Amino acid sequence: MLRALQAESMKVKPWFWFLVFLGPFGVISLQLVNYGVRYDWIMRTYPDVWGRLLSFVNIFVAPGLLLGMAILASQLASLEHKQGSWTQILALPVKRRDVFVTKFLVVAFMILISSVLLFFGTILLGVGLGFGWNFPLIRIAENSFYPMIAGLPVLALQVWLSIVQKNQAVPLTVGIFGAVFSMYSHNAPDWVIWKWPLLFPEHDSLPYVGLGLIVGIVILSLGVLDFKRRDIV
Amino acid sequence: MSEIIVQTNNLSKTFKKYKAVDGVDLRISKGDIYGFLGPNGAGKTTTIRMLLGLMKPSEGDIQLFGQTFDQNKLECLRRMGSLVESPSYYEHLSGRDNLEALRILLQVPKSRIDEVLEIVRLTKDAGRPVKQYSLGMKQRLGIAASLLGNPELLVLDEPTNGLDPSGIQEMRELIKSMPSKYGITVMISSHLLSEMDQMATRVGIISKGKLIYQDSIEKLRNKAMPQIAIRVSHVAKAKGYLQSNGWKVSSDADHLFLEGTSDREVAEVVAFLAQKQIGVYRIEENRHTLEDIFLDLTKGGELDASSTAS
Repeated sequence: MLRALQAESMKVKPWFWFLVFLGPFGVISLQLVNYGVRYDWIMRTYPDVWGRLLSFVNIFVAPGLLLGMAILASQLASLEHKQGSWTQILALPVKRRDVFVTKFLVVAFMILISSVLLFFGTILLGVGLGFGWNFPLIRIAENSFYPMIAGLPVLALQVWLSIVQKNQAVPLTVGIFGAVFSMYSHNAPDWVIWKWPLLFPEHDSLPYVGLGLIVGIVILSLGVLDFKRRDIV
Repeated sequence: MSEIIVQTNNLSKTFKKYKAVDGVDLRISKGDIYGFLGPNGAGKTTTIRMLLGLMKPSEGDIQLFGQTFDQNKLECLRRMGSLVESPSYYEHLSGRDNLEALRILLQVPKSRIDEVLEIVRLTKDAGRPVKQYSLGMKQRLGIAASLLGNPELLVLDEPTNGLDPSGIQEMRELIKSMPSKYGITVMISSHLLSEMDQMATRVGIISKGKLIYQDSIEKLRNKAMPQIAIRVSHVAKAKGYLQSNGWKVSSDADHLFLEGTSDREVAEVVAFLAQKQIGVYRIEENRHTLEDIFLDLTKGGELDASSTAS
């Protein structure tokens, strides 16, 4: 497993890392614009400055995250699709399960890096806007890392789709649709996994995080089972 | 009898209702260069994919190195190297890094990369990104990758596809040296018999999913015995004379045909005909090339009568 991870990380192209950076950078920049345009109005209307900043940020975290997952999963799978390397890799003495799970872990790791960047970016933005150094650490951490964990089921789904479908239009369409949908999913039923990365101030988000972890593992396992019995063409 | 490395029993693969591979019994012994021949779409690649565990057989079983493949998959794969169709590589990485990504998975020492680069003579270009490689170099890199794990069995699917003549020549020399130099048994598929003729020690011919021939290349070559055609003035009369003297002769409208005759016998026949006052106009040798036999075999499934005379 470790070997597979090591080999996989070798293949990662530099621009994947650029994407990892672009996600949080975009989310923070949008808020910079938001505050730049209507700073006085926002400051006048909402006395909880950090809380308001977090809820603004969160609106863009979910779609950004889902989009990032879809693009990175597809890119990582394309490495193999492009040159037909599946036949080469799977004819090596490596378990198919390891190959599949590795792809998942690498994307998950990249998304984690994005989340870390978002965490520090949020703090810097708040401080830069003059909210002071007395920031709510826990809430910022929740806002940065909960969506990622709650989004693991979507990641598992994207990885599976990207690997089994040679035509990357399919996983990308699903991924983009999911990202757009997540922005309007406030009233969607709770079982819709694309809704989970959104944190709603009005109810507790921890159950979604736990659910994300469990369902993520379930979907990943189903993906592995399916991948194992497939004929590689 | 040397050790059998690959043995399949009634190996079959059905896609929906179409039987791509139908009851194939392969036997490959240690040290063979086994040419696996067949026209495009005959089931070569499907068979090879099953041997590499990329596809599950619908029926039958595979024994590799005396073990049941299905139950010892990783162990068997560790002893094999493969190159299926076009070589796969990561364009943005150098040749060396491509091998490194595989080396980590195979857990072989780093020095092995230099060894395989040396074997395929890519040492000089190892640092360049693969997108700058020529097709021949990519193919050689593919071979290097397949050799990385010190395989005992090398499975190559159409390794000369798309190469220019000098590339083919180079590849051929490389493959020919495998059994003697490195003790590697090679299975190589192709749709060109002429290519195999210069490499393989044994051949299996597959057509429409069925293995229709499997034996040494010499046996196949013997089927390619030359035929002597003699154009004479009176075919029927000449044939009668010759037959009554114990010659095996066949004929068409104005030729007599003799199979597997030596130079001296031809001379005797001509002298005999001259003596009987029959005009001999032309003597020609018709060679059945291996290519003809291959076409005959794969077309009808059976050899036609004239080429099985020997």
